Amino acid sequence: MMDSAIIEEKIKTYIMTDLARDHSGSDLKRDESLIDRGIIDSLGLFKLIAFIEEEFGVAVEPQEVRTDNFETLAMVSDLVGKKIARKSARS
Amino acid sequence: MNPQINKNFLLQHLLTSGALRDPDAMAVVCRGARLTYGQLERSSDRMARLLCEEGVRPGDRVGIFFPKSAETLTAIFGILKAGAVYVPIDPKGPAQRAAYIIRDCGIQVLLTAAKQKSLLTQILREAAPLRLLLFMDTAASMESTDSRSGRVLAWPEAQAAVTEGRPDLPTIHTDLAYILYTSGSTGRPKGVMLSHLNAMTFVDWAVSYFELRPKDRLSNHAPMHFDLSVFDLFASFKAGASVFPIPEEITFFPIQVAQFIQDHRLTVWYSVPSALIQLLQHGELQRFDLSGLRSVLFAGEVFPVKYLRMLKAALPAAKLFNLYGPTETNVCTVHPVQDLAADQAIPIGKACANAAVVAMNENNEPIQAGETGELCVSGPTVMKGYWGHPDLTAAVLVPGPAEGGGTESVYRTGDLVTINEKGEYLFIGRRDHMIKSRGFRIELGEIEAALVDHPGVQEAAVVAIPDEEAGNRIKAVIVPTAVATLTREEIETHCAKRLPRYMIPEIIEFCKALPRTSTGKMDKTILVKETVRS
Repeated sequence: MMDSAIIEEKIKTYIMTDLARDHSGSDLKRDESLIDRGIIDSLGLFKLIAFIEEEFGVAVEPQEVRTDNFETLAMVSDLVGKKIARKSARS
Repeated sequence: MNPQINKNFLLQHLLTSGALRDPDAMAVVCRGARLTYGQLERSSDRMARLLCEEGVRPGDRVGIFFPKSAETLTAIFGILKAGAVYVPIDPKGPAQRAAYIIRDCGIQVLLTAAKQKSLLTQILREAAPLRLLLFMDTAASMESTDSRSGRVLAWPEAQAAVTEGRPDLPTIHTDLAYILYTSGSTGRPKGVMLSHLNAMTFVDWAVSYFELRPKDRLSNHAPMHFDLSVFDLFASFKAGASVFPIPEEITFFPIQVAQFIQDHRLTVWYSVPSALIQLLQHGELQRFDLSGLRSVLFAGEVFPVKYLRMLKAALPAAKLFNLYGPTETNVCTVHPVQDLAADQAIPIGKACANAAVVAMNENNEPIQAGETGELCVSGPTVMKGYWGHPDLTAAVLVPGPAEGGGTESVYRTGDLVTINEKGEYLFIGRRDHMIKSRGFRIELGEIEAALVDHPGVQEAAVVAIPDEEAGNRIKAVIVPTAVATLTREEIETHCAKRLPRYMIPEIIEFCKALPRTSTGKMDKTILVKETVRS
């Protein structure tokens, strides 16, 4: 089972290299708003979901695409962690 | 009858009339805060008073730089009541662009919020010094308050200290009401100047055409610096209705937008088509009761018929309207969507009341059915010009013939159209390099200018790749200087400091030389189709 720190690191690396457009800024804090930081907009959001589904082999349900799951890195990692746990519990 | 009710020349009169009619009617609901017409009338009176006491004079430009809230309306109506001109600035930045706008139209008073602090620090470094920085939420004391921020006040405290009564100013309806900045081909955004009359002409038409009533509940999806907001705010107030600004962060989450429409029982929606397409694709609309929506209006880009059909199916009871008009003219044509039988794009329709619309061919004659021409607009909805740029104004606002040998200003939109046998206009494309992406208006030249600004860039070309969902995606092809080694990250970072996020190229390629046609002109068609080999 994947460590939550590894999950968070993978998501963070993707966000910082592929989604962030200003690469000169300070490090991304886990509780910093991805929306305020300009990382999540309508395009960024669906790119991030595609990455999560591909990288971790989990499905993000439409009703999960909410600010309370995607506002911060910590929330996104938490959502992915729970999905992976549920997936391995089933298999 | 109260004499004030007859006064409806200025945008702020719409609020005053509404407050006299029914002070307890709900005016605005946003982020849990609600203001009635009476409350908003009084808070905007206090705002006007404060601004006047702080030295704001009629015609002064006052910036609005904070995320949407109920206080946005206090700010807008307060600025107008002070005889001043409101200038909404994208609260998300970038700082350089905001600083440019502040310098360009000489903003000395800026209304902001604590959340904006880090952007403000960057802006103050580059903009001309301010006279007053007014925090709408709290005094978030700018640390070691930079002398460049001028006086720093917090609205919650400051409003308690102002004297009662509304300033009485000699504003007339041809005076400026607001300036909206839009992408400029020379690399700098340009400020479209709109008067009370310009907006009011459109608002009068809209309220009667869409039969807006006091019980209506209007969405406000567009940002305040986007001209769609003019309908949301002022048509709502003219009708005595309520407006519901959607917090910026929610607009990216289609399910929450659907929930918002349901929870607030919105009756009238207005947005760019891409927002509706997002809603249709990811909003799980079958789970929500959106039956309250009686009219859905859209403008700003072409709405693909495929999605329009989905929209009709999802909202069978709602009437759909395609509106058209550049920021410079307000909305000037409308088309009520009826049948979608053929796979043809829907028309932009016919002229709205009090807007004169004609398409001219190359010989400057009105086009016949089937011919293509440039859409030209005249009448009281047409802007006063671009702030501080008479040259740019003169290029688009040209004298046209009028009755009795007089002349009147005609705005050349740059939009190519044709006309059908019913007399409806159909949009064909642009005659220049302006594009729309997700409803945002973008001059490719502004992006090219930003790229060439990088010391390692010798030459750059930016093209739009057509895309059904986004309208267009932006691609940049860059020729680095001989000594430079450039990376995508470096270019993105460079752009992010200068351009709004929606203008940063999605695709960035590097090559040794740009493709040219046999006559030496840059061959943009190749750039759209292919990846250029370096």
